Amino acid sequence: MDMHTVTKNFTFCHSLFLNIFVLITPRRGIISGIESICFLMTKVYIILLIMLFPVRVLTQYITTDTLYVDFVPDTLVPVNYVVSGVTDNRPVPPGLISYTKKTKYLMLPVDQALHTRADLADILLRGFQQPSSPLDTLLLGINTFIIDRYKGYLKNPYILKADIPVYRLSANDTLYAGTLVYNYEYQPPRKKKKTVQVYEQILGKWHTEFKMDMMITAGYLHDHNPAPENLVEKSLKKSHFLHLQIGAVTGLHFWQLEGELYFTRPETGKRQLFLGSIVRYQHTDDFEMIGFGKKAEHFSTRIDDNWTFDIAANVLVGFLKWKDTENIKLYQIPQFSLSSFQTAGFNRKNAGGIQLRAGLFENLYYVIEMKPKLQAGIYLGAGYKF
Amino acid sequence: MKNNVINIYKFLILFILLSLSPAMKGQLMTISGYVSDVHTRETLIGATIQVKGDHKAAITDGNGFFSLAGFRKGEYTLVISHLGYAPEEVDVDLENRGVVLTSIHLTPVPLSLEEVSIVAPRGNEVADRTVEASHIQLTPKMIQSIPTAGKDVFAAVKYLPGIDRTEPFSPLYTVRGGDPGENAVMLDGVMIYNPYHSSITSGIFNTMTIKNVDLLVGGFGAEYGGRNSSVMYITTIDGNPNELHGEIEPSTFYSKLFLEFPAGKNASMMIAGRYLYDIVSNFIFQTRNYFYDVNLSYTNRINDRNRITLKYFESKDYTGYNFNTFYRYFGNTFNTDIYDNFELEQRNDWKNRAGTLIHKLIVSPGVYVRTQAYYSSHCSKNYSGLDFQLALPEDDGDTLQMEWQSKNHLGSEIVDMGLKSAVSVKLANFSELHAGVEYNNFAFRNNIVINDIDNGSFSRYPLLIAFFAEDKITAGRFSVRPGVRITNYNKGQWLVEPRFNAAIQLPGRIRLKLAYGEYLQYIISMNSAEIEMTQIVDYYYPLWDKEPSKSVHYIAGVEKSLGPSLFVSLDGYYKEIPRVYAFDMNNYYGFSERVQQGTGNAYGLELLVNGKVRNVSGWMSYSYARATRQFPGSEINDGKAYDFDYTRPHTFKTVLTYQMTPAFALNTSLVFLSGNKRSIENTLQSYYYYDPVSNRTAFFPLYTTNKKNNARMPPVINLDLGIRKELLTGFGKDLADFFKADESYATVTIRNILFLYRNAEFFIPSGGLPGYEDKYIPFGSNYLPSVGFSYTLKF
Repeated sequence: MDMHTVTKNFTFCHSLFLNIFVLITPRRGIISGIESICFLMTKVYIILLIMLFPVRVLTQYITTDTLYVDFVPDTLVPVNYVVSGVTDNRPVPPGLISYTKKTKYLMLPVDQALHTRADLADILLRGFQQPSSPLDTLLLGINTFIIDRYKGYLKNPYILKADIPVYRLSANDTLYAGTLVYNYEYQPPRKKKKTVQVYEQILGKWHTEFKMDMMITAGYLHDHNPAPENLVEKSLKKSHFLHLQIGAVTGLHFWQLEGELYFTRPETGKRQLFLGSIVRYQHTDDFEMIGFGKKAEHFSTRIDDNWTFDIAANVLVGFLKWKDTENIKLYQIPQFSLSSFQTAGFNRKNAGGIQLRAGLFENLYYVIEMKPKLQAGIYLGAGYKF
Repeated sequence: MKNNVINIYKFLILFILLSLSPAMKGQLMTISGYVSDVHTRETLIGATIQVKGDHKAAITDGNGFFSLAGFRKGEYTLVISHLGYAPEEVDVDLENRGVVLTSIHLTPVPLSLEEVSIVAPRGNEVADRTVEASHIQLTPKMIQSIPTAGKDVFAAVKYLPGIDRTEPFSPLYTVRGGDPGENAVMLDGVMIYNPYHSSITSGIFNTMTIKNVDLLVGGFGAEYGGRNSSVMYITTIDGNPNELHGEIEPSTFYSKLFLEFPAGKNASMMIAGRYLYDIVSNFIFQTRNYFYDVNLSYTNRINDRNRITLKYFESKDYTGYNFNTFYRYFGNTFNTDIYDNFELEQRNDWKNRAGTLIHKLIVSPGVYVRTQAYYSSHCSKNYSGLDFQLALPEDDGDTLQMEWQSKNHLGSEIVDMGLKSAVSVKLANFSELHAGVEYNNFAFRNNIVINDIDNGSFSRYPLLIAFFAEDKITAGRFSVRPGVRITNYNKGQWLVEPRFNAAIQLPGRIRLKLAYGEYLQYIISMNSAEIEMTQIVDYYYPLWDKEPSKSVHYIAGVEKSLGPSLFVSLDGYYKEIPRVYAFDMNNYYGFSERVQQGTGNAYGLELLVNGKVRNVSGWMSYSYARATRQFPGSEINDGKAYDFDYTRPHTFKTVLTYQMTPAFALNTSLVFLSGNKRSIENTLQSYYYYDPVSNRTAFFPLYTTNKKNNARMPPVINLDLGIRKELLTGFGKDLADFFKADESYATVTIRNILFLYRNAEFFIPSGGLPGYEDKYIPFGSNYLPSVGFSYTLKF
């Protein structure tokens, strides 16, 4: 949308409203209250229009900001295979690599779309040289490629999420070899850089690692060498697993039920970070509480293909239903909690199914004009991974 | 009178028979059929069918059916079009008889940014209503575009001209100076009684299931009766017979779900539901508030001529407000403790059920029959109670313990079993006859207990039979639709309700509309505002041994097209109300003695600009309205005329949507309502008694004055903002990708931006408290701003 169109829209709306408003405003004062309200209404509307005017004038910039990122593929790492093609299977524009969000004028959510200057598939293909004696001919796909910002309490790196299926071409067949899964973390330097520069760095570093993984994959396919850790051989139908977890905690003078919902990426290494959303019901000797937490931060470590160890921390805001309301004040209804779990559990690697967890729970909660209290208990949970 | 009715009936039958005779029709033939969406198979209302090279045209009606008459033998090409769909051409070869076409399917096409509009485009109105004088069409998109409507029909209609809310916290609405009980709400042809949820003061209809809403706010035709003010006709989705689709709005407190899917060959089903549990209110006020509603639909498109549909609907509400706990919190926080023990409680518990079987049959290309059987019921039990103890110091140093009590129970049940059949006959290319019969069997059971005293109960089982006929005649620029509705209630007299609508297309894209109609209502609503904290439901009372209430509508309107998608209209109306009833709850015992007969009128002007210009769509309206009532010989306002409750002389409403980009839309709604009059009790009589068990003196209040609307309320002004944004990142986006959603968006609503101007909507008398004898406490429902957030996923 160009500025000319935006300006015209603004002028039309503003003049139409004011013209009609002038027509309908009572010409004689019925009561002074009505007149003052009409005047107030006009003022407020003008204030609102003034607030929105820069929005309308700068519509393109504010609502669909597009940034272009230079992605120069690495060509230094040699290859001993041929990549005959790269197919972008994503249902998004071919150069899109990320969306970021900004809030402008305190309330207006603005999206920024980051694109590479050429199609992502072309850029990746360009990164593969043509060796004189290739061992194999491979075909690649792009099922997922997005750079997100992980916004936890303790860590907030950029994460490049990519699923690159690899196919081995023979004279008669195209064989699916596996999918290279990336959850590539990048912690930006403390010294603030422009968004575009940060993304260019992430892409550059990732691509180098990607080329190395491709070398190892080619060696695995041709010579049965060990496969790279992030090559998932089973077919991945989706880019995320959905987890639904329900648990119970019992402790001294309290018990609670908790539900959590979160997404995780296919695992590529021993450690995994993810955020969940929590609903909690707690029953104590003094009150019942219902609380909500939007960012439960999990640090998960894989023990083996079936077992993991998980440490989670979350902040919850709750509402209290006091049993004895005799001396309770209105502002003692909300409760603020900081809680933590340390659990071990059954969770199959890169596969759906039932999950079980058990471990310890600690909670520190605060109610205004009361002393903070600490709770500790034992946690048991079950869930399903879709 | 009876002979006149019989003569009218004989004439209509003769006219129909002659019209159907070959002598009348000559060699002219008719082409008809259904138009539907190729993917969802939903019939399309308001699709245009034009004959290439000819002026003949038709629009699909509320069933998605069209009929074009006046064809001679030959080959014709029909062009079918609808906004948002690619036009389709169909070749028809007529030999010696008319043709019912195999369903015509239109393919949706993506709309450009400039074509996206929240306003239903003209020409997409239901065919029968091109002559309606006061007809507003609401689409689901319009309902969703209003920031604070919460995607609810009843919240959305209050942004339309001529329609206003009643009490704070109440979902009831009033239309052009009419009583809230004078509005008919029909769901696929089934009359729904009290179609409201109390918990969120909104309607019981899930917007996800709605295909179309037609609102007739006056001068409506003979097909509709039994209500004097308006008809809201809601058409729901039948379901997709090809594949599974759905929509979900997940949330902890308030979740919605909609699914449509194939159910056998040529059949489809739709299942939808909502639930709300007010957890926060439960925790803070220790009150239990919840509701749920469920829609089920099964449609079998047996063949091109036969369709059968089964629909079921159920909703349940429980609302309890107990301020005891809240009062204690308040007292502890602000160190006030006048009352020893304080209980102010209102409990509302009600249930709605409706089921219907509909058969649609194309008998011949020019004859369409719709037959429907239905069951509809509503049952409510409501309680309002006030109980507090007060310690009053006396002159001799002692303390007098006083107790104040007021308790009221209202119970109401209505069951309506109905059967109706209507036939549409294309008599000629200029005339379409629509006629039918309705049969209703009612059951009413009501009871009232005021302050532990039984104020009466009753059960009644009246019958209602109605015949209607109307003929829409089009000649060039003129369309007229004379009609008549003849009713017999409870085996009484046959009464006639004449109707007339006309539309004239003038040069300069101006259309003039006129309407006249007489309306009778046999079931009235009891006003309980004097004994309940707020009236949330209509308590239906069947008139017995009394003539029906009556109103006569005179409407004139002019409409001009300012552009391809922009219209301005000015409607003037006058409603003469020669017979109306009100309940005087305070002064009499028993139901029938409370019913007071009176008269009234209502008149007004409504200016509406609606449509779209570039990326901005919506509407702006201004209304001037007045309404009065008088109950001579009663104690209501001592028999003098008074301004009717809820009448606000000036209202200004606007709803605008700015589609900034395909992924981002900004909505705003602004409402200004000028001050209105309310009834403030200025005397209070207390009935004292001594309770020997508790050794306390107790009293409960008796409001003795019948003075109406003696206080002026200040104006109300509300400004809300909404943002609708496609989900691109975050948890919602991950959820959308996981479910492979076709569409996913987030809605942010900012309500009551002008909260610094406090909207006082009623005054509570302080009730003679020491030091506050002459004071009134202003009270409103909208004091603070709030922000709401929700996700929607469509797949």
